[in-house]
Amino acid sequence: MNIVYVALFCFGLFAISRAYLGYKSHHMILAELLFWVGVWLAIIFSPLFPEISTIVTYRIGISRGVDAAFFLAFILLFYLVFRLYIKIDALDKDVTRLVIESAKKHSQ
Amino acid sequence: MMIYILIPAYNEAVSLGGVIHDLRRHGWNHILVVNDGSEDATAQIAKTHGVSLITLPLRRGQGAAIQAGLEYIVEYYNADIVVTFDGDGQHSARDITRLIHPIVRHEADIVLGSRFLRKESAREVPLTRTCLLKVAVWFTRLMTGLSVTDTHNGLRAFSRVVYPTIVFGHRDMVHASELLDILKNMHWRWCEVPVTIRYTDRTLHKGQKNTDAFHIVFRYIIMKLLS
Repeated sequence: MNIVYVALFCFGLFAISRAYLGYKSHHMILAELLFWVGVWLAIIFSPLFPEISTIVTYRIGISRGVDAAFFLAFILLFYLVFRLYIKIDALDKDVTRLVIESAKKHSQ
Repeated sequence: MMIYILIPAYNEAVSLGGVIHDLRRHGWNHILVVNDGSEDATAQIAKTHGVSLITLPLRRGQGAAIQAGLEYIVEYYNADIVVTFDGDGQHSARDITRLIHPIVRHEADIVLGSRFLRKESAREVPLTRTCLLKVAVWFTRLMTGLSVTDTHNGLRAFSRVVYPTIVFGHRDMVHASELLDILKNMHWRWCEVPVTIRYTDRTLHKGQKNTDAFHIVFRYIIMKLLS
């Protein structure tokens, strides 16, 4: 077990704990918690069973496990950026609504 | 018939006084200035000239300023017609009579000003702006199916039937494209009338940049994808 894997394992556990805290504080629904726990468990355990990840990736048309990891990471990042975009847009709309209501209230 | 002139204004202290004076000279006395978080004396100029004023504490963009103004007019004035008019002196108060005419005659619910319906007006538009606006017209026709000749022209008139129902999802210049979408979806009766746009170094410098077109198209496509 090399140091990179230990670091990945620790970070994975940390990410799972953050997801659980998010669920406990009602910032996340159960489906989101299960999704993130699934993602991080897959990331933690796939290096322990490289033959399984190679079989799975070969079936989806990618020959090497590491290529599949990059491919999935790219999709995940794209999804996260999109989610952030939606959230920022929603926040921006809320700010605009507050500003408009404040302006109407304090008009002369 | 009460006609309200709605002026969204961001840092228009230099031109706003002249615009208000010009409007009054042509008999348009019901004026509402929406100060869009200006850093200059825009609000003071509006106060000095004795027009109605609301001030957005933060700059939120022209779409938000118009939204605030429309809501304010619905709540306090209940005007028969609302005309949106730029505060930078680009628009001519003389065009308003022609602009509201189709609404007064119950022939349209919304009237859009077009700088390309009259050859003399079209000639005054700088070449790069003409090319960009032509592409915008083509894009709008493709996306909405509306045969408009001009887009993003701030001189528009709204009847009492339509302006209380308008809710812009975008606070910036994308609202102009969004308006055409709303117009189509709500099946409002619309038409265009020729108007004159006065271009000066100041308005060209301060107004929309040519590169803003990419931002508007990007935001518009995202809006269509999410709607």
